[in-house]
Amino acid sequence: VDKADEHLAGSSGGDDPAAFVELFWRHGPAVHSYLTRRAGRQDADDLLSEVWLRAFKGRANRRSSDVLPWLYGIARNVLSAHWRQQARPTAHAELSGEFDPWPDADTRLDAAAQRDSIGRILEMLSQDEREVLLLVVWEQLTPAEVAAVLGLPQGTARSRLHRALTRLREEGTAHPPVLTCSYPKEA
Amino acid sequence: MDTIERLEQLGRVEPADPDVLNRTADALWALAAAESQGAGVHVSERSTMMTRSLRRTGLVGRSASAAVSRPRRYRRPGICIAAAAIVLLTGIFLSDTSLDRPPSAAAATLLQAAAAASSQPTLPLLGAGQYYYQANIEKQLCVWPLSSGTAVVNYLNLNTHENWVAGNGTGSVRLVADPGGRWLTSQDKAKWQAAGSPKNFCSLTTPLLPLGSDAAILALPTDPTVLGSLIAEGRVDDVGRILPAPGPCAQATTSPTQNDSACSIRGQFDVVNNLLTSPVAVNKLGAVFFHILSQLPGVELIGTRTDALGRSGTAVENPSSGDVLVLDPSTGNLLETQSLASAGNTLGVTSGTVIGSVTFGPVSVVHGLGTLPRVGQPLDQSKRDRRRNARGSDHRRSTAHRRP
Repeated sequence: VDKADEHLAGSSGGDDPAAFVELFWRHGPAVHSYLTRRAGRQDADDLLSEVWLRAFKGRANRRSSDVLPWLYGIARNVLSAHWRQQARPTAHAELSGEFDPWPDADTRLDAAAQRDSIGRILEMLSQDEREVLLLVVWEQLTPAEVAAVLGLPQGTARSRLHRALTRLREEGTAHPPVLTCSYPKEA
Repeated sequence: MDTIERLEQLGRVEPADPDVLNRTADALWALAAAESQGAGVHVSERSTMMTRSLRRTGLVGRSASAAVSRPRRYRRPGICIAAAAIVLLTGIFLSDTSLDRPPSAAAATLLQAAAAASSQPTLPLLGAGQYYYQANIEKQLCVWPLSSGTAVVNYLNLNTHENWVAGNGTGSVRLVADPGGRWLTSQDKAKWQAAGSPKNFCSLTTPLLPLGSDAAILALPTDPTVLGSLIAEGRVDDVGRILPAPGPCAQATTSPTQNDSACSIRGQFDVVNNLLTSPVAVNKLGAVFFHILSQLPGVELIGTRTDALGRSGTAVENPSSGDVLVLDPSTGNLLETQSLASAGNTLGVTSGTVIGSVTFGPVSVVHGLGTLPRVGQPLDQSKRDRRRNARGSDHRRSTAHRRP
């Protein structure tokens, strides 16, 4: 548990509501990245405020002692509501956002070739396994934190993560990504 | 690279736009302020209490305060950090755009300053991990509603606004509250006391916060005619971005009866005034901005003023907005910007009272965000520069900076 987070969250629920703004500056960018990875940049821009306004309103009822998983949990709920109004994207679609996250051209070429194959592998996972996996790999959360985000027992989160990682490695080995881009031949 | 690493790579995204973050921070400030005052205000109503976005704080976003509770007449230079209502300026404008009149005294002063600024040395190039540091003293009118929102009080906030700006325009900001803030009038203080002396959000010290990038300012054209035209068309916003079509300036300041979509004179002065608050803007574009201001009709010379640091300068005013620039025409240094209360204002102060100011401190080069310059090491060497000028020294090697 991050003590500074805990202090800020506690203060904001007491006589210093403005402490919540500092909490925002600590974690707002991470929450925005979480939203961007799942809903695309444009929707993330729109949803960020909703996540934080909900968090502000609900800060007194926060049950998780760790602030960041609590915030991701709210972001997840906001995303769910957002997706209910639209068709929920497949895992494959989550990887094909409109943003361009790869600054390096070579990396981008490589990643474009790999996006399809990794998307296919992710679609083979159950939604629960996929969610655990992406929270660990993309948001760098620990299994305990993932459990807090999803409201699961820690053991369940760990076993889902284990299954997802095993599947990912197996599939990745069995079906390595194929480079589809062609490079100019040397004269 | 294994599959996990590839997946990790696919999850990389660009950082959030500072404006997006600022908008949310803005909303949170407003909620916090309202809650602190025990006001049971609906969120949509609270949004009207948000401070105008002055992006440079990183605290408040530019989008949030389109709706405001009071006329946009008393412009506040620089930054307002209060999580409360903000005074925006009314749509008073001048339609006179003729540029062929003889130079006024104000125009002559501005042209003199532009010429002096253009002969000043530029900022030294920054090395890795280095930042320009500037501490500005700010007085700002902070307007906030008490509890139910029926009573509004005015506080003249005082703080030091510290900027760290990297060579690419990115950086951070920190606000340090000064106890020298005060209620604008005795009536304001009495209203506040009658409401139970709630926590005053106008004065606060912040941690180091992200700064909206000045990169757009650094990329602006340096030809006064070109840049002046863009500003007049309303295509430059007040953080220096060039817009594909006339933007908020034109929308905010053009009267419904005005046929064209050009940015009003007041709006142009407003944009330039905001751009001048950037530490990098004055150094790179100060001469250009002064030249543009000299072309705006209606700008008046109002005499000599002493700024908050005790420096004496010449003041020019745009009467349509009450915006004042105090500058040193002999060096091109911008000393201070001020906002004046207009005649017939509802603040309870006499016309011409300073209700906001930014006093520009010296610029230093420091190593790292949050690092303060060593005492006696600011790049405030204008006097030395003038002596060098007199001797014909080579300024290009100087690390001096023309900001005060």
